[in-house]
Amino acid sequence: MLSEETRDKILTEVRKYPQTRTALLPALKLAQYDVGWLPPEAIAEVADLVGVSAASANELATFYSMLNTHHRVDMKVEVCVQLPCALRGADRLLEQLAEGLGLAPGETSADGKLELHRTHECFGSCNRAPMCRLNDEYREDLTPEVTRLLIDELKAARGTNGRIVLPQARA
Amino acid sequence: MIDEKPTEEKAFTPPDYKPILLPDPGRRTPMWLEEYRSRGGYEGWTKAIKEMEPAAVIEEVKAAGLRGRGGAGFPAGLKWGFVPKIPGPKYMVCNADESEPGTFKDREIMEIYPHELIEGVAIGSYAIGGEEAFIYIRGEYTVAADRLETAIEEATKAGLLGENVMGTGVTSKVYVFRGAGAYICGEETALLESLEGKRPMPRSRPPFPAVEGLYRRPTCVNNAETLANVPHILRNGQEWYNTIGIAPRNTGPKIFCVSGRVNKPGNYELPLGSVTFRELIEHYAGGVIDGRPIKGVLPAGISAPIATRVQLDAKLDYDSVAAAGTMLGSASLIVLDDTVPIPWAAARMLEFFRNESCGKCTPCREGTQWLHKTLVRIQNGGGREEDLDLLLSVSSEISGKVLCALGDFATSPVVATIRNFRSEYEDHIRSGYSFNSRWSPE
Repeated sequence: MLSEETRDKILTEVRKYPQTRTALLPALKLAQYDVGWLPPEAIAEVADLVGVSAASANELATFYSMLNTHHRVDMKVEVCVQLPCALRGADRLLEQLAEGLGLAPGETSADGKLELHRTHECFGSCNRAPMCRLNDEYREDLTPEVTRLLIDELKAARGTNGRIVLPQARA
Repeated sequence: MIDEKPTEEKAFTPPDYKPILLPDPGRRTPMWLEEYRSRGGYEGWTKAIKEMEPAAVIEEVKAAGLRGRGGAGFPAGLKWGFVPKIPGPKYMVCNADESEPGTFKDREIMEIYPHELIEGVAIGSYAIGGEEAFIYIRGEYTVAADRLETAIEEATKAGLLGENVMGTGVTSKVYVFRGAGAYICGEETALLESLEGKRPMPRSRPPFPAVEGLYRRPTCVNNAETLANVPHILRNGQEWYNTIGIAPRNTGPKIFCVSGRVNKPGNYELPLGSVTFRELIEHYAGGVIDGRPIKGVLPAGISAPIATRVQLDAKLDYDSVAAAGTMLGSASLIVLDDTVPIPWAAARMLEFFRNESCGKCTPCREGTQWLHKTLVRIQNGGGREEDLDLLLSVSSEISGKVLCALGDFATSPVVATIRNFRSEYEDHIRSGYSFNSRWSPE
């Protein structure tokens, strides 16, 4: 399932550390970047390359919030709603994004490409709150006006193959 | 219990201090190697490996009185001294998993001054007799992680890292390891499990990491801000370091993160013990928005008891804040004003702990769910008179009965808000009002 390039990168990680199993988390992230999410076949292939059981790899894939074992999604919009952001309008931001994108928090768009989330983490942007993450990219200082521009950007961002082409996650 | 401003406004004299950890406040561009060296960078590292034995480096950091900046405030030099002097690999691990709500100090160190952290990691690694060190950085800090990797490449190319550094025979390699979204990885033994490629859940201690840590080898885990202090201590000496802050137990500078209902949220670097909560908020963070009264300040992200009224006149250092009845921790101050509803805020804080509980210990896994569910029910109009005692009872079943601090800290928002704002909870419960899980400052 994984590309040759990804398999090579994973093997580089496996050789890099004092013990090979340390490479398991970086390897899962490389696989997710390649495939777009972590289906069971990808997890099994990673486990094989690193030299652990698929169950061991699955233990990580199902634990970390940045690893996605549900379905492929081009763009995850994660809104921080923890207290420091919430004190500066994160609940309003989430509502504004939900209305503007036509998605309830936790919902995926009809074409399966865009997902809106109320995040479980604090992203360390408490001085530039409220904010959200678009995959790996931070979008901070999201006043109502800037949020309107962000909604337009997300609606317009479709590449030639229909995929959303804002910045992608990487390991 | 809304805070009133003190009746006598004392004139405030700002401490005479020029920042060293974040020397260019407001800077958004990284300081790369050439600039870092032109400003004294890597002089501490050079002095350490060319002129000092590892034991002498440990003594210097001990004498400086550097306390851990991640939250526990444990003396760094003492921790380094616990690593046994036995043959075989020993690992220095930097905890850059900064995930406590309200905390963004390590982010600024790593994004803007990556070499400062790398130099501190290298010195610490040398001091404990290690050759390979890890910087465990949270996965979401991609910009910081990329810059650390670039900086390590720069330093390696310049012969400051790698094998036989500066002809001394010392080997020093630093790996950047990215996490993948898990607050529990800030707990040092869960971090080590994560580094070992396992599901990150805290270990039973003893054995402690100094004896059996990464790969069961002697290991020292230090917070990023702690290690960022080390190059300065080595370069300028422990006597100089003792002139900053309050010797002997609260020495050095601290980066205070201020967030919430203030005009200028941000990182503010000041000597420990030089300002009070109120002074920091008023004279550095621009004061409370619209000049509203302070309802309370959470001093250590959401993990320490909320500070109110006279506690806000305590000096910001570890011992003074502890004496005032709360904890300085990571010094991540979240400011609440009189418009912030406590039932909503408490529910929001427990949402975090419930989601971040790793699940290993039953009291935390089950207890954080019950605390959160109960607070949501209270928040949304379904509260009952006996709920406050229920919350306190569940909290006491968690405290002290779990393997790590997450469980204990999860009870803090509950216990401290009930203690300080019981009548607000009772009025809210009686009113039957629902926040519908949302609140906005407008």
